[in-house]
Amino acid sequence: MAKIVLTDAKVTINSVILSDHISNITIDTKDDIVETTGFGSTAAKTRVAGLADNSVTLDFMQDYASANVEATIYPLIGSTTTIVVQPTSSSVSTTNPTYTFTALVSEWQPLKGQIGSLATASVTWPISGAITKATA
Amino acid sequence: MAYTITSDRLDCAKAEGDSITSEELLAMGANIDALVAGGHISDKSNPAPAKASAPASAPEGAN
Repeated sequence: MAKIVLTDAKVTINSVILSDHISNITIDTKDDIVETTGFGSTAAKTRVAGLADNSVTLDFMQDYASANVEATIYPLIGSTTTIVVQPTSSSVSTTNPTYTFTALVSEWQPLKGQIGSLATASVTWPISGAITKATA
Repeated sequence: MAYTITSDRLDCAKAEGDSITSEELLAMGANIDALVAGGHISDKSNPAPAKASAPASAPEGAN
């Protein structure tokens, strides 16, 4: 298994491929930590995993053209949408899995940037439900 | 209901100009209204109106 440099990650939002307008992606998975220490546990605390609280962070390069970034994301604000992420755009395999989840489009930046810089949008959307990993 | 694919960004085994049904879109987990609003598909029974041509105007000094 080789180390991987991300150059061709595939990101699909609401079945729309926006990879070429995304420069950064992070899928965060985190479980609540539930303490289970009882009387008699004299050496150390004990814990189990609770509910998962996942999120996805995306950095977009803004584009107002038809069927592009703004046109795709703006109608989704306030609703949930399916997102599929892959390390590369090649076919799905054990070394190129897909991560599929439903995210709540809870924030958006229709316009962000400063003079002389690229117009971008950086968002973190909470994931609703589980993340499904597929390798075939 | 059938739609026409109007962008080259839709992640499906079809191309721009092809027809796609609401059943296929829902199976993909797509939000159809958002795809229509975003210009990725158009309703075949209610296609987007053609671009209006500039209104004819009388040449200056015609009166």
